[in-house]
Amino acid sequence: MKINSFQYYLREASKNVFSNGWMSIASIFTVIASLLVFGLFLVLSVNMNHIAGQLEGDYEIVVVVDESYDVAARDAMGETLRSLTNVSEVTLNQKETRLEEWKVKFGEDAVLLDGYEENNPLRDWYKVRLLDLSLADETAKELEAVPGVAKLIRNQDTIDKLVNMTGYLGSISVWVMIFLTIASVFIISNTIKLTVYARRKEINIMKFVGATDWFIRWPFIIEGIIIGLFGAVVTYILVSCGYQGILGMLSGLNISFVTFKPFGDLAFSLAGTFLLMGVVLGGLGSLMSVRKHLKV
Amino acid sequence: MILLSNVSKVYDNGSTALNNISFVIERGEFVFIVGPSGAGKSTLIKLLMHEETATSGDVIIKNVNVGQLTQKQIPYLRRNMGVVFQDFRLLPNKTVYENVSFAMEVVGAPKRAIRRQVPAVLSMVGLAGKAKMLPGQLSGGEQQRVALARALVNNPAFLIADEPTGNLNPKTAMEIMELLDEINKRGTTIIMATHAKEIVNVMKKRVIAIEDGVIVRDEARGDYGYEN
Repeated sequence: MKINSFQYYLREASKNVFSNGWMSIASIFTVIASLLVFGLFLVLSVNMNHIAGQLEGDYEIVVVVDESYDVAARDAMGETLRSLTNVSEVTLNQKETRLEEWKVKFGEDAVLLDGYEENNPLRDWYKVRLLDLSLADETAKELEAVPGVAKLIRNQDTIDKLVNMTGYLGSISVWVMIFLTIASVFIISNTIKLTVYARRKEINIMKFVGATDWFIRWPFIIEGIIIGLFGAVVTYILVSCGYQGILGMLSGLNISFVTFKPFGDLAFSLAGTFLLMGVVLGGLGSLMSVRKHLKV
Repeated sequence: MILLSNVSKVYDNGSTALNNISFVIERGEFVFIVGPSGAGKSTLIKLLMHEETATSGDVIIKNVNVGQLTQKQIPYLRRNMGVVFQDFRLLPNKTVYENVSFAMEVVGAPKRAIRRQVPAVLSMVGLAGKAKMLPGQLSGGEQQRVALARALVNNPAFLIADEPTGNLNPKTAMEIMELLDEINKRGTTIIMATHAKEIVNVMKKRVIAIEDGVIVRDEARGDYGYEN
């Protein structure tokens, strides 16, 4: 593409955007609508993954040691647990320590626990952390098979729910996105069709003075891309303001167990995705229109 | 330069517009195509512009068999020719200068060449002082001059004129013809389809007469030959 020609395309394309006024604005709005849904999904899923990550970081399987095991057997068992492939960390939680902790929790009522030192009803625990959480089920089976393991206590539910929700959210968003993408492409292609119609004389003249087909097509495709980019920029501003606003409100609520991604972490990927999507939507819409309505 | 060999054109609706036509036009010639309405003049012009393709036979322009061109090559064929029409086909919201420079822009000419060439061709057609005006502010003759300037600005080897004086009064028409003659003398081949009897008779150029899709007459320094 020659530099001269590119300047020409750009000039013509921006002229078209402005001379189509309301149709361009309508197209930009549909781009915004579909990018907003996309952005919403992106932001939610990034945050759910972020939260799941925090919960996973705390994830551990509690291995309860059979009460018949003495100290030596218990320690030997700890070594066996450590030797399993997917195990990253094993910490012993002795029943005596836990009894002390209980007493602290009971506070004034700690007297109720008096006498249990001799005949401790609690059992020794090993807290096991995993290297790869996706293999948790397999590792749990291996852990259960270790001799002397009375039972396992796992806290899988919360993570499973989060992962499931992210999945549902994903599939809903995909459908909404598909619908909105089609709508945007359709409306953009309609706008471009108007330009093609308004410029049919010019196109005819271009043809008989020897303009190549692509020379005639480019301004229309760039017009679509400009519409897409406008939509992308506006969506980015909306999402950025909205997200920071919501984060501000949430921090006022003082939810301490989870944190959300700061906007700075998302800004770059959001901007990139919006711009890319804008270009694709706009380009696709005008390409469709040009193929259909521009007989060159 | 232009060679038609046994060219026929049958439209999809079955009507035969041209029937086994052959002729040669050499570089530098000035040729009138005459004949009653519906005789096939327009089809012939369209074949030369490659707006239509021949059903059979060969159209050879500058040693290229036009029928074998791919879609991509057609624009480059068209850069060999300038075209003017009865209805001028100027862009009403562009100035005279822009209407002409547009033709250079779309073939990707460098800006310097445009700035040099457009004023030169405008002064050749006698419109140097009207570069900034819009087509609507010009007379018909002047508009056709702009169209001529646009057709010539890329220095085409030949000029196709489809009834270029059809919308002009006789005096203006003669002025346009003088300009075309001038252009022809500078070396541009001219092919002009026309109904204008007086013009053909005065100019004394080669005349190809078509009736019912067949060439009935082809003579150098010919007359119009019809009583309109």
